Amino acid sequence: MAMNRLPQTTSRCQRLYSSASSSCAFSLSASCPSRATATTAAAAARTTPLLTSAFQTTTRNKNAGSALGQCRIVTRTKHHLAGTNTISSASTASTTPSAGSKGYSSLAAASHSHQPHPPSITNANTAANASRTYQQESPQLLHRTNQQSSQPIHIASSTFPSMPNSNLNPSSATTASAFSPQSSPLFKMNNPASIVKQPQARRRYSPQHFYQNRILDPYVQQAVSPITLRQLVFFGRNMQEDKLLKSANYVRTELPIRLAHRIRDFQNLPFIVGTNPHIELVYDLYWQAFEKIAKIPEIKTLEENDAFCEMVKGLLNDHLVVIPQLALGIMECSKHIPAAQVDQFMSKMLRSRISRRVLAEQHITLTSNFNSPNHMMTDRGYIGIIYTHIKPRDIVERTALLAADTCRQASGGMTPPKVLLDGNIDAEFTYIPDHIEYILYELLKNSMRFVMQNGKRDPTTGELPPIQVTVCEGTHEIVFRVSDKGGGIHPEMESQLWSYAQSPARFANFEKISKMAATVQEQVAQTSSPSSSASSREIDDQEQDENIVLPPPPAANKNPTYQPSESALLLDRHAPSRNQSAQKSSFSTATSPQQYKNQSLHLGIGLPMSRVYAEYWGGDLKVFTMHGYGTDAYAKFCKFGNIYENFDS
Amino acid sequence: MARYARKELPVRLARRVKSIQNLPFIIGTNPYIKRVYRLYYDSFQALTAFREDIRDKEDLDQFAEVLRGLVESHADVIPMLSQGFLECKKYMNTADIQTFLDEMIRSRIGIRLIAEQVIALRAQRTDLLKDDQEEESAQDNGTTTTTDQSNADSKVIGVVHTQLKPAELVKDCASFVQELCNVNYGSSPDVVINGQTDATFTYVPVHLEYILCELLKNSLRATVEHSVKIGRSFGHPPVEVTIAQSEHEITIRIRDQGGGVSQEDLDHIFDYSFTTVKDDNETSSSFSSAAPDGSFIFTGVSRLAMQAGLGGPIAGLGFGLPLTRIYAQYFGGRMHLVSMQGHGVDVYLKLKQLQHVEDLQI
Repeated sequence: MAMNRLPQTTSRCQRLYSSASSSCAFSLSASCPSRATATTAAAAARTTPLLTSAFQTTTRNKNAGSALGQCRIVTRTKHHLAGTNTISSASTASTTPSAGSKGYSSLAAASHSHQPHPPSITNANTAANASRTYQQESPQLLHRTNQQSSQPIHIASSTFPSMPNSNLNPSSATTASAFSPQSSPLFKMNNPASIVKQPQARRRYSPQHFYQNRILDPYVQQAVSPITLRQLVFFGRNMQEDKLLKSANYVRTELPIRLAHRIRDFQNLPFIVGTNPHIELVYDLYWQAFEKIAKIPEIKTLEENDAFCEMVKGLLNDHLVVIPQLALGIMECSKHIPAAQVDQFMSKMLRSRISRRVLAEQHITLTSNFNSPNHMMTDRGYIGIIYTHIKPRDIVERTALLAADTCRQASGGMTPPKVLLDGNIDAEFTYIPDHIEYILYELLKNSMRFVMQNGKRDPTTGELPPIQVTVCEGTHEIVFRVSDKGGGIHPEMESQLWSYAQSPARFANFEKISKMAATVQEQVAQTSSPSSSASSREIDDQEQDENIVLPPPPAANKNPTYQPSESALLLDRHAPSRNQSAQKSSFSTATSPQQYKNQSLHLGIGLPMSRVYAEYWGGDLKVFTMHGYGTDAYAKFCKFGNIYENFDS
Repeated sequence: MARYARKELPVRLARRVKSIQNLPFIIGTNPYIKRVYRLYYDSFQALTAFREDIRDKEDLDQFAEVLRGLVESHADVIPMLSQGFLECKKYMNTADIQTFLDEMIRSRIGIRLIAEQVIALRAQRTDLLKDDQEEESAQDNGTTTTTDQSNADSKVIGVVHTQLKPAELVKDCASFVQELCNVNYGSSPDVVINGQTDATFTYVPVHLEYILCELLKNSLRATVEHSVKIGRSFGHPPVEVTIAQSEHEITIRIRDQGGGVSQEDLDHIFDYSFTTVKDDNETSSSFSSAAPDGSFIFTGVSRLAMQAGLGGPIAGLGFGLPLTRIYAQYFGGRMHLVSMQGHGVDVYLKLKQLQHVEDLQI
C-alpha cells in the first residue's frame, strides 16, 4: 500500500539519522519500557537538540541526491553508532568554548566531514531490528550522554529554511532566512520519492509508544491557560528584553500543554481511525512537535529565544500539512466514526491549532520586531500579528479584491460581481487582521461564486447583482454582514454547511493540495505573479477599482438617501498596504502551481474553518439563506478583546 | 368537515381544560386564569351538547353558529392569560410557564383553525348557494365543487388561500402598521418590498397576516425610536422586505435599521416576558416587555384597532414575538432573528408551501 506521505518525513529522517547518535539512543531508550522515565528525558534533552540540529544541518547542506538518500531509513549497526558517537563527542568538544551560531557552523562542518556514507533503505523488519539494537546500545550511550556537559541550545538560524505561509506581520519580511532547496516545501511537494514510509510511524503502534506515552501525562493534567486579545496587546506594547523572554517561556510551556491535550484526543479516537495513514501522519507530527518543545529548558537569553523562534518556525512550517491531511483522513474514516464525533474532533483540533499558531506567531513576530529596527511598527498599531486600528473599509476592500481575483481566474476571465460597502465602515477596532481577512475572503468568495453561477443579470446593464457588505458597530461587537443574490443554498446542503463529515466527497479535493495554511497570505501570493512588485500590485488595484464601490468619505454621508453611492473610490494608497509586504515576507509562499490550485478547488472546509476563526475570541459566524434568492452571512467579532480564547481542552 | 370538527374539538378543549387543571392551585385561583378555565369548560360543554351527527344544512348552520359563538367568546384569552400569569409570576417557574403557554397557544391556534374553517366553509357555501341556487354538496371535507365557480372562490378554501401572494399581504399589513406608527410617533419609515414579488403559494392568510403585522410593527417602531435616539436628521431608513420562493418554501426576510437588540435582551425576546415595562426611553427592549399599564405604546385607540382589525385578538403585550414564532412554526415553518447591535435586525421567516405538504397536521 503505497501511501502518499508528505514530506514531513524529512524531519523525521533527520531524527532517525540523528538517532545514530547518543541523542537518538536516548530517545529510543526512552521507548524501552524499562527506561521510559521523565528524568532520562530531561537529562538527555540538553544534548538532543544539539545533535539533532547537527544532523539537520548536515542533511540540508548536502545536495539533493544525498538528501534523498538520507531521507531513507537508517539501519542501525553498532559501528555506525560508534562512528557517530565520536562525532558527537568531537563536536561537543569543539563547541564548548564558543556558544553561538558560529560554533555550530563548525559543528556542522565537523559532522559533515565525519559523516559515514548514507545507509540503505530499510523496511519494517529492520525497524524491529533497530529497536533491538538500540536497546542494546542504550546503556552505553546513556552513560556517554550523561558524561557530556549540557550545552545551551543554539540552532544555527542560517540552517533553517524560510517559513512559507504564516500570518506574519510585514515587518518580519526583513528576517530573510537562508533558503536551502532541499528542505523547501516546493521540493518536498514535487519529489514524492522523498516520502517514504517511516518505521518511526510504525513505532507509534509499538508497545514502546504505549509506555512512552507516560511523558504526556503531566502535560495533559495541566490546564491550559487561555489568554485574551487584550492581554496580548498590553503585553506586546513596549517590548523589552525581559518581557520578550517572558513571552518565550510562556509559549514554551503553553504549547506542549495544548499539544498534549490534542494528542490525547487523537489517542481517544477509535483505533482503526488512528491507523489511517493521514491521521497517523498528523499524530506523528504532533508527537514530534511535542517532544521537541517539551525538552527545551527555560529560555534565559535573547539568543536562546532566537533559536527557539527558529525551531518553532520550522514546526509551524512542517505542520502546514495538518489541515489537508486531517481532512483526508476524516474523509477516509467517515464510516468508522459517527458524524457528531467527527465534527467535535475536528473543531477541537482546528481551534487548538489556531490557538497554538496565534501564540507562536505572535511571539515570533514580537521577536522579529524587537530584533529588527521596526520598532515603529508597534507605534503604528502593529503589535505582533495584532493591529489596533483595523478599519473595516480597508479590510473589506482588500479581501474583496482578492476574492474577485480568485473568482476571475477560477472562472476563466468572467467578471465577478461588484462589492458594495455600507454601514460604519470607518469604525476602528483591535484584532488579528488575518483572521478577519480569512473569514471575509471565504464569505466573499462563496458569494461571488454563487452569484456568478446563479445570479440574474440586470437586463439593462448586463451586470451581475452586486454583493452588499454592511459593517455594523455595536457597543461590544462589530458585525460584517455579507449579502448576496446568488440563489441561496439548497436545504439539503444547508444541513451540511458546517459539518466536516457529512459530505466526504467535498474533501476529496484535499488530495490535490498538499499544504494549507488557511491564511489569506497564501491566496495573496498566488493571485499575483511571483515577480510582482509593489508597483504592479497597485496597477492591479487600479484595474479592479470598479469592483469595490464604497460610499463617499464620512463627511458626505449625511446625504438624504440611504443608498450607497455608486461612485468608485480610489483605494487608499496611504494606508499601510500589508499585501505588498506580505509578498516580500519570508513567510510568503513560493508560488507554485500546486498551491495556486488550492483556492480554485472547492474544498468544503471554508465555512467550518471560518466559524472556528470567528468563535476564537467570542465572536460567531451565522449563515442564513433564502433559497431561490440569496444568502446572508453574519460575522461577528468582539470589540473589546476581553474574551478568553475559545477552545475546549 | 363539520362532523370532524364536532368530534375533534371537544377532545382538544378537554385537553386544555385538563392542562389548566394541572396548574398549581394558587394559580388556578387567580381570577383571570379562572375565567379562561371557565371559558374552556363552558365551550366544551356547549359542544358536547350538540348532537353528534350533523345531517343536513340546518344542523350545519346551527353548528356553525355555535362555533362562531365559541370563537368570539375566546377572543380575549391571550390578554387574560397574559395578565393572569403576570400576577402569578412568582408562584411558578419561568420555564414551566413557557411550556404551558406554548402548548396553550399552539392548541388554541389549532382549535381556532378548525372552527374558523367550518364557519368559513359554511359561509362560502352559503354564498355559492345563494349565487347558484344549487343544492348543497354532500362533501364533508370542504373541497369546493367544481362547476360554476367564480375564479375568486376557487382560490379560497375556507381559511386557506391557495394563491396567496405574500407581496400583497405585506403591502396591506405595512400600510396598516404605518398608519399606527404615524398616529403614535408622527412619522413612519417606508416599507420597501423586493425579491420575487410575484411569488404565490398556499397558506392560511390570517396566520401570515398576524406574523407580518407583528414583525413590521417591531421593525417600524424600532426604526423610529432609533432614529430619535441617534438623531437621524434626514428621515428613516426604509424597512426592507424581501420575498423568495423555492421549491418547498417561501422565505420572507424583514430587514430594518432599528438599532438592533442588545445581547442581554436577545435571550429574552422570545419569552412571554412578564417583566415590568421599561421606560419608553429604552428602544429595542421595550417590545419584549409586557404589563398593560398604560404607558405601553399601543394603548387606547391603537390597541383596540389592533384587536379589532385583524383576524383575531393579538396580545400587543409582550406576546408578539413568541406568538409569532408559534404561528410560524405551526405548519412546519421556521423563524430566525439576527441582531446587529447598533445597526438593525434581520428576521427570516420560512414557511412551507402548503400545497406541497403531504401530511399536514393541525
